[in-house]
Amino acid sequence: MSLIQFLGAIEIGLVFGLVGLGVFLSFRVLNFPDLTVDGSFPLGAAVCATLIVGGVNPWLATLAAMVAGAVAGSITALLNLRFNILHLLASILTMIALYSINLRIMGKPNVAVIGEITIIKQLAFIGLPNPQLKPLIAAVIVGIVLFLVIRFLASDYGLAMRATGANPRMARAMGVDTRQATYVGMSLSNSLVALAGALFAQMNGYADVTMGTGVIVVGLAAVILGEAICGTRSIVVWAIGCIIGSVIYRLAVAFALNAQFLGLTSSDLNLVTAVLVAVALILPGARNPLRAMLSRGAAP
Amino acid sequence: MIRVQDLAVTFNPGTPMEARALNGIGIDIPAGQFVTVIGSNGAGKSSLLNALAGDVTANAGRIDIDNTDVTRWPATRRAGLMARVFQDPKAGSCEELTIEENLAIADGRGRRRGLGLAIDRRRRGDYRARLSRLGLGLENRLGDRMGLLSGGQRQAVSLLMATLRPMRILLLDEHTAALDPRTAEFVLDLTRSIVAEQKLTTLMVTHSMRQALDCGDRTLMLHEGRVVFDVAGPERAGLDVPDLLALFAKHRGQQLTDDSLLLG
Repeated sequence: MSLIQFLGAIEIGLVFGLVGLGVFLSFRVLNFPDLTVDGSFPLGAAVCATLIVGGVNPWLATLAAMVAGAVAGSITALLNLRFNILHLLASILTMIALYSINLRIMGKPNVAVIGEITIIKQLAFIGLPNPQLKPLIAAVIVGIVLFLVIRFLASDYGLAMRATGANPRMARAMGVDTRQATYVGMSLSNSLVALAGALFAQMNGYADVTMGTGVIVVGLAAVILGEAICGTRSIVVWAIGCIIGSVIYRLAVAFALNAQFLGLTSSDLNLVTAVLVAVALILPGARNPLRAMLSRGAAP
Repeated sequence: MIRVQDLAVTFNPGTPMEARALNGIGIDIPAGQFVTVIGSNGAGKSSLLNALAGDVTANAGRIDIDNTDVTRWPATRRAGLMARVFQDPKAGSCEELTIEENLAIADGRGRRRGLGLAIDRRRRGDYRARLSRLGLGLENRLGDRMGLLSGGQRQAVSLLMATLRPMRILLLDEHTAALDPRTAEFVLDLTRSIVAEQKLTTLMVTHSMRQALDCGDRTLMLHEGRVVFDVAGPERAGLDVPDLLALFAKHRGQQLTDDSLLLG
């Protein structure tokens, strides 16, 4: 693996770490299996790319992408809470609808932002070449978001949200508005996914209507790998694990695709992902070789 | 004070599964009274607590608390007035969260939950002091997950969580039923001292006749969603478990004779 490939894996791993964080909020914190992600990721990219091409400030365009993602998440929550549609099905409905909406937003299947003023171009004054600059930007943004999410989960409202997912009856008995907490959590989750989509579009130079396929599985892979590696001792470790899991996953994928003897090509990516997630889910925590490997030599 | 008037709760109305849990029940409980509630399975004890807490909505009747009609209030809003402890030790807390996080959730009852840090030094010190009163050594385990505690410890913490914020009404739903006798006695003593100290209006559903007579200052017996027996004061002081059992049998017996008539 060359340095460029290594940095590329880190960069994409960090961007998808945001997806992991969003999936963590819905699947783990709220206990709400949400597949909206497959639609809100390209939504973020579509909104951001279209606005940038239209001459809007890239930071503003990224923010608009996050707002769009939040709206998508709250629609899934609305379908579930207000109309009692099963959460999984509610999220699939939103996801399918977003495919058409994304086409409407872009007006065509894909939009290129190469040559436009993106946040990467705005930060080019730092003086690093692109392969180094992009992972750096991703790291800074992901670091800020990670801190904010952890700080939020440690707040009174964040605790109420965690109680909503862990024991909704108890939460209500404690006066927590569980419906509101679900709306807020789902919006937050999908706005992070849309932010990932917006960053992805700017770093790779395009937004495409099909770029969302399987994003939920990649997000889950990040969460599950993070749990296997870092554990779930505290919410801080758990959340950081999502980012670490995502980066490790991308490095593993880059390695697998590079290993000539395996004979894999980039079109095998989805298969590799599915197998990885399945294996991580099948292996019991205690006997998980990944954790055993990483905890070897560590304190007790 | 709590005033319940003609309260009716019917599950699955209009279907073959129709079940009348509460059948036009009426109760007046003055502020500060400790009421124990007994009755056989399906008598409507839990339904009464659920209706008071807002977990189930009443089909008819009304509930007033301190002269405010709360019949249409959702559980979330009523949580500002009352706290409850469930029968299942797992129901009253989040097992994945730590002891201090659970206490912090309880600390937010009846307050606006904002973005301030949930657990700061002041709160932690407060929780430690309150936990040490339990005498279970939990004050040194603030960061432990709730799931690591035994049923009795969890129930004791649930009681602490229920009464953490200034509260008027405490609802206890067979909160010692899942515990061994010694632990049950400990949790019951704790209940008595907290109720007395905070002068709470309390409704305690219990499966134990002994508990029903030993605790509190009034006893209600429910049968088929109605109050069939209501005793307080000297009359109650003169009652013993066999007397209660006899009353129980009397109401059961009536039903039996009805059945035998039907079958005969």
